[in-house]
Amino acid sequence: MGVLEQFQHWLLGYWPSWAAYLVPAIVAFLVLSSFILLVVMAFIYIERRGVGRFQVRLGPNRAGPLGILQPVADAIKVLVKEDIIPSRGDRRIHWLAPIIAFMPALAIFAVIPFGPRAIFTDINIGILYIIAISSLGVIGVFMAGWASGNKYSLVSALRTVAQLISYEIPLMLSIAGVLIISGSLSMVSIVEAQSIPFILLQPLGFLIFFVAATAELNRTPFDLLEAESEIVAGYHTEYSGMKFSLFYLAEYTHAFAISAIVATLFLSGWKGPFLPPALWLMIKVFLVFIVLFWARSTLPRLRVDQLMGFAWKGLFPLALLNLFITAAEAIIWPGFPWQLLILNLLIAALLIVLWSGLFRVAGERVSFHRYGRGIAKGMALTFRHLFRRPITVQYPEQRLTPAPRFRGNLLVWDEERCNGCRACARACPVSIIDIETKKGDKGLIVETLEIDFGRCLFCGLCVEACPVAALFMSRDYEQASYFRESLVVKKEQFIAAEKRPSAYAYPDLEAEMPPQTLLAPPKEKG
Amino acid sequence: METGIAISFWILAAVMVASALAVVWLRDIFRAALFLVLCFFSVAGVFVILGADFLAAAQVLIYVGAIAVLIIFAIMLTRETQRGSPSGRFRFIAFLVGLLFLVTVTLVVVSTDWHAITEIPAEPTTSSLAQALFSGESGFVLPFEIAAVLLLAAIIGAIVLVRER
Repeated sequence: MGVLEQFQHWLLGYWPSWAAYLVPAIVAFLVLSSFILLVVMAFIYIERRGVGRFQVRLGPNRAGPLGILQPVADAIKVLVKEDIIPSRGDRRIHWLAPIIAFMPALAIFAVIPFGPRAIFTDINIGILYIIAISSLGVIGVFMAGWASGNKYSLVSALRTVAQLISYEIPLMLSIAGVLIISGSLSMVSIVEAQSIPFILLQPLGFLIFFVAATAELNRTPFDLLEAESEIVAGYHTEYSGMKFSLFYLAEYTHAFAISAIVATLFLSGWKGPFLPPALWLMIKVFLVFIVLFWARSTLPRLRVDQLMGFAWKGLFPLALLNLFITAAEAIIWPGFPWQLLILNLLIAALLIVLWSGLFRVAGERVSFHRYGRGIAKGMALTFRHLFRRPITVQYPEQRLTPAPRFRGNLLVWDEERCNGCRACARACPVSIIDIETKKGDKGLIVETLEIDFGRCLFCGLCVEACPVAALFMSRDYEQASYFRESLVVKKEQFIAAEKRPSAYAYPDLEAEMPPQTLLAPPKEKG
Repeated sequence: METGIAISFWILAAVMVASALAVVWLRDIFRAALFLVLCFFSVAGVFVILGADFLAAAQVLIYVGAIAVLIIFAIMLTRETQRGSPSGRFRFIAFLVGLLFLVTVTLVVVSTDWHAITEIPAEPTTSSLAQALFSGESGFVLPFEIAAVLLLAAIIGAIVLVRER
């Protein structure tokens, strides 16, 4: 009996029946949705930081300590954005679509067991309910694609449905193997049946389920419906503000749900020594999610025809074979002894290698060398990136040194050496150097010097023309101003400025320059 | 318990009938398809009320997840749906077929002996369903297997049709 039913029974003693049914449902919804929101925020944070590290970046780390408030900042930003509805679109369907997309992802959690008794309702068709409910999400995507009145969105919606229908079949067939072993559709009994995690008894089923679930989630390498390089952002191109955030939320809620399902079906759910059951489940959920975005940050996106071919010709027959083998094993060894896991592992490896050998990609036979070892090598490479120092430069605090002869955005003027000869003004091809001199005791004194850097070409002719080495290019590389006039730099500013001359036209200065770190040429080996 | 179920039944029934009418009357074919989804979904709700959870899940899975999605897919691949459903040349024939269907359904509804079952629905539906389907003499093992083989043949046929040469 789930938590919900217990609460209901307790309430029935005090309140009228309708209230005893309604109140637990509302309470459950509130508790569940706030918990899911928290987990989703954690997911978003972990994924953004994690993908960053997989790509040798740092990831967002500015909002709060270690960037932990980044999801909050994102949420606030998205909520204050303007809500735009395309004029050619269907206003009502456009409004309804994000809700329809979000609802099924949330509804899945009604049957996810967080512990032996911590489940909202243990219905005896648990896994069937999950499959049925999650097939609803596609309608939301459909509505969004249609109502946007945008051809990219429509293309994305079409792709989505083709993809989801195709991958739903291997998904369900791979679950069937688990169901044969556990002998029940109920999520609680499936977990209880796992004295050995089903990932060991059903290695092939697990792989098929994982791949198909990644496709159902529309995550890379299956994220064709929002392939940025082809169809803008797909079905949510025309969405902004709150509605966009609902789609975003739906995506991560679904990711959470799928991770929880994988953990429940294949990783023995809440079971585990020492720690409390709910914690075990969450650990497994986070592990599955990390593998999901690890694959995301490693593998490239599939092409549409490859995607469909992979589902129908690769996963589907394998899932059928897996179902057949599991059924045969259920007849021969009804108790599913642990020795079977060795046999199943061998069968899975053999089937995958043999089956993939039947295909050709780009005229070349699919080989283990390229697609098995290749993918494994890629995954290992991104994993190793976790232990490398990120290449991210924390810009305003941490600055890089440009090349020694860098032509920066200001000139360095040495007022001591300048003799007012005006060679620089004559050399300037755009005549932006304005210099006035008067006679002094020892030659000329510069009275005014004005250089309009708004029109400067940074050609360096003025520096080359200077006969007394009083003018240098600077090593600074940042200049911004709200006013055009402030780009005209005057004599006093030149004197006050920090003098960081570059070695341009003065190669002998190069020796005392700090080593270049910005766009540094690769170091030679040896 | 009873009032709760009665309330939900009437809500579901009203939604079902209203959405079914909307499917027929709406000119915008995409919205009609969406109302069809709503209709299927409320039918699943009625199944839930009757304690037929397996049937409800199957209803959502097959009708909402597959058939309705296929219909919407077909709409998206159809040209000039923005103008709504055009009145075709087959108006008269369609009227005749519709009338025939209505008469048949009415006859069936009237002639069926509708009796309320007093026994409580079986609690774990899956096992009793499996008993009814596969148990010995009274089971439906052969039709079940035939249907399975038929579907498998259809899927393999589809794959063969689209395979690259």
